[in-house]
Amino acid sequence: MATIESAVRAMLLTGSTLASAGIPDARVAHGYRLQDSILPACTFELQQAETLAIGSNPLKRVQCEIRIVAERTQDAIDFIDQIQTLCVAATYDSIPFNAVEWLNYSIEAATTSDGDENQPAELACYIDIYYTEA
Amino acid sequence: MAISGTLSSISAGGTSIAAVGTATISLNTPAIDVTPIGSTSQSYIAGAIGATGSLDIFYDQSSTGHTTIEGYATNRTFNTWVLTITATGPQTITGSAMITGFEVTAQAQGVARATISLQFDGTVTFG
Repeated sequence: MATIESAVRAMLLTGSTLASAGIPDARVAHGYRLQDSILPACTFELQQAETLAIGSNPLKRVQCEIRIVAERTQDAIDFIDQIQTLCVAATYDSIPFNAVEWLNYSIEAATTSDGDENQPAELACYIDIYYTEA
Repeated sequence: MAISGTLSSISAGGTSIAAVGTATISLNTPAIDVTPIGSTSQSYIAGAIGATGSLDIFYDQSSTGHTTIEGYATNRTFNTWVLTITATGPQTITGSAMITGFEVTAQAQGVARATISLQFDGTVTFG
């Protein structure tokens, strides 16, 4: 069964754009990644969908946060163009995305603390997806 | 009792309108003041019933229903509008209306919307 989560993942996997840039499909996941997994990686989260229209097949909107985790800040920033290219209106996993609105992004720089662990850099991209779900 | 909006729909001239955010039909009966001088209380009689309507839609010219509305707006014709509350029953509100306003809004970081204003002519029927 197609869900909005599977559709967003399908959008991010379109055309092997992320895979070519260093994030293979297996490292694109909903929700979270394992702390010791290989970087760079991509995760995404969805807010609760909002129904916008009346009718049996209504237009819905969901806010989506896409996070790129990379070892260095510049490595994360380099994915902005790819994410923008991927987040476009089309049908993904049989769910039509009528409109995809790019809102903004933020960067959390990589940091090194007193111990021997490094905090990786994170690029967070925010988009609104308008879709209809059968 | 409550009826979900997912069961509702609206059509114009027999064409279903897609992506309707809100559909409103308002009946208005003016209260005519007939208070005589010397009276300490106001008195009213009912005027003629009128009806107006409005639609907020997520505007898309590739939608047949939306282009139908465009045609009605430019032709200045009266057409039958039916607001179906729920298909089982059915529960409907029907009337003949012309489009008196068609306002399209495109905003940054949002989707295109249109607001349509309707003026009904004659009787609006329920059910």
